[in-house]
Amino acid sequence: MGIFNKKEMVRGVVDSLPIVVSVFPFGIIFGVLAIKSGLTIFEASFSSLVVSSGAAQFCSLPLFAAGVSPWTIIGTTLIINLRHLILGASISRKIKEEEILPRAAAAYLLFDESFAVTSAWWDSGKRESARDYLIGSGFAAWAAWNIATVFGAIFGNVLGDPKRLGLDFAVAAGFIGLIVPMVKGRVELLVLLVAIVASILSYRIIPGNWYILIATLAASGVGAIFARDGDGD
Amino acid sequence: MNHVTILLTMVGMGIVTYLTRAFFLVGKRDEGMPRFVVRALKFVPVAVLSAIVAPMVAAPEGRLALTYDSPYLIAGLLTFFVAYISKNLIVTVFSGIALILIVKFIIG
Repeated sequence: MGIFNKKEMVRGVVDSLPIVVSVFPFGIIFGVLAIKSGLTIFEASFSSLVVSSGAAQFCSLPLFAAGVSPWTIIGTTLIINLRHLILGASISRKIKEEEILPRAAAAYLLFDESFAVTSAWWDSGKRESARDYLIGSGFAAWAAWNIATVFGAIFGNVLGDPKRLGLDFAVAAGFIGLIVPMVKGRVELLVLLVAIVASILSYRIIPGNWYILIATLAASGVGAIFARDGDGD
Repeated sequence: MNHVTILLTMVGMGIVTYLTRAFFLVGKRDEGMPRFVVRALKFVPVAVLSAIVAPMVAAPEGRLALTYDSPYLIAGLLTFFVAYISKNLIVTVFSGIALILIVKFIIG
């Protein structure tokens, strides 16, 4: 572990614990739904281990149940996850370490949640090792997601409805908590508003998960238009 | 679909997902990216998080729910307020969970 900044990794884990609280119920919901869609406990767990993408995994369940062709399922996954290209580009500018294998590990752990926490941390000015912070943050989210999936798959039907415990709102609360400190100026506020409007519009008009990609591109583009040098750094 | 096909499909899903994550992180670096794109990338975190949250709060059941008796909208706005005041993620997450339950109870 000589080339890793352990302190940074631990910081990433610790800072991600609140987000982990919101990831956990969704992992459980996925486990339960996977079983209800006809997958085995092993298949449900395997999915979270190998794919590690909540949105794609949830969308795949009705497709598996309907016996849709594997290539369609894989293609749908690609479309849902295209936004990771943008996340990867954004994070990659903050990582100075060159070694390939650690970067490859960080890429495996790049989720919406770890991206969000790492970006928030970067925004607040602390910048020793974004790569290792990301690895720590991603590891926390990944562990929670996988443990929760197995838990949900095994015990699901016993637990009842997570909505009754308010847990379905937990992810939204976590993201809101990360967004607010990021809005430091008028341009960021504009980006936020554009993202919200574009997201809701495309969510209603276009089926699937395109709304995330469309709104992100539109809002970031607006930010780039209005930003002067140094804004949003 | 038989079990082997299911597992292989998941491996395919995993490969495709990993490629989107690794493309810029491990692969091409950004030398030669247009300045406009570089400026836009700085706003991606706010943009993507807002894009994901918006339907959760404004259309939780798929249909637009923007009236005063939509619990997720009210809870969402209140959670924003809590986040602004507390500047603390743990407080915000737990407040959010409490708020949605309270608001649902009051409006219910």
